[in-house]
Amino acid sequence: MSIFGLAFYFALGGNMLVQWGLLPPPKGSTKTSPTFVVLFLLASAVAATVDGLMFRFVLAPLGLESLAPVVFVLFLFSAYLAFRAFLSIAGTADAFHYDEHSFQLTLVLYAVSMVAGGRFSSVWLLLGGGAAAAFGYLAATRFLDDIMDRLDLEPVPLPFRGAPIRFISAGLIALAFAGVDAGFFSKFPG
Amino acid sequence: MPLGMDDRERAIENVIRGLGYAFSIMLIGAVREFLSSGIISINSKATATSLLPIAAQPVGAFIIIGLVAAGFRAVMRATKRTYS
Repeated sequence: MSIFGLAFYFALGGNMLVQWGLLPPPKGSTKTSPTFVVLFLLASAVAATVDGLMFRFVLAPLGLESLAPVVFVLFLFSAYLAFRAFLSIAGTADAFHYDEHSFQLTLVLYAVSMVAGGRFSSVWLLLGGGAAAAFGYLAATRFLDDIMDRLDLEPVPLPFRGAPIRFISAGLIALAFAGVDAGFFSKFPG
Repeated sequence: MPLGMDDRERAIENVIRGLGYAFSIMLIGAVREFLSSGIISINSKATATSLLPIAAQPVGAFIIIGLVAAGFRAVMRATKRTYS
C-alpha cells in the first residue's frame, strides 16, 4: 500500500467511524492514554484480519458468505468474554460484571472489522486497513469531544442541547471527512 | 434504568425500548428515503425526483436525526407548557 493509499484509508476510516463514533470517553478520564491507543489499533488490526481471513477461507468455500456478520459477531463476543474471563482469573476484573465501555468498544471493533475486513485480500492490507480505521475512529471521537467541550460555553438553544447538537456536530465532521475523502484522497489509487 | 425494578418489569421495559428503537430507525429511514429519492418504496427501481440527495449519505442521517430530536424536544416542551 502506498502512502497515498494509506492516507486514503485513514480518511475512509474516519468517515466510517464517525458514523459509529458517538461513544463518550470512559468516566473520569479526560484524555485517551497512548497505551490505550496502541492496544486499540492492535485489536482493530487483528479483528479486521481475522474477519477477512474467516470470510475468505471458511465462509466463502462453504457458500455461507451471507452469514459473515452473524459469525463474526459471535466470534468477537466470544473473544470479549474470553478476555473478561482472563481478567477475572488474573484478579483484575469480575467476569460477570457488565462493563459498558468495553462492550461499546467491542461494538466499535465489530464495525471497523466489517468495513475494513471486506475491502482487502492480503493479510498486510487487512492489518493496515484495520489499524487505519481504528485511528480514524479515535481521531473522529476526539474531534467530536473537543467540539462538545467548546459548545458547552456557547448559548446553544435549549431543544438542541445534548444529543441533538452532538448528532449535528457528528454530521458536520462526517461531511468534512467525506469532502476530504472524495475531493483529494480518492484521486490516488493507492 | 431504575434500580428498584424487578426482572419482569426490566424485561418489559427492555422490550418496549427495543420496539421504540426499531420504530425510530424505521421512521428516520423512511424520512431519509423520501428526501433522497422522492418516494418511499420497497421497489428499489422506483425512481422519482431527488429532493435532498445528501439525505442518503451518513452526513444527512446525522443531521436529520439531530434536527428531528431537537424538534421533538421543542414540541414536548411546548406541550408541557400548554398543559401545565
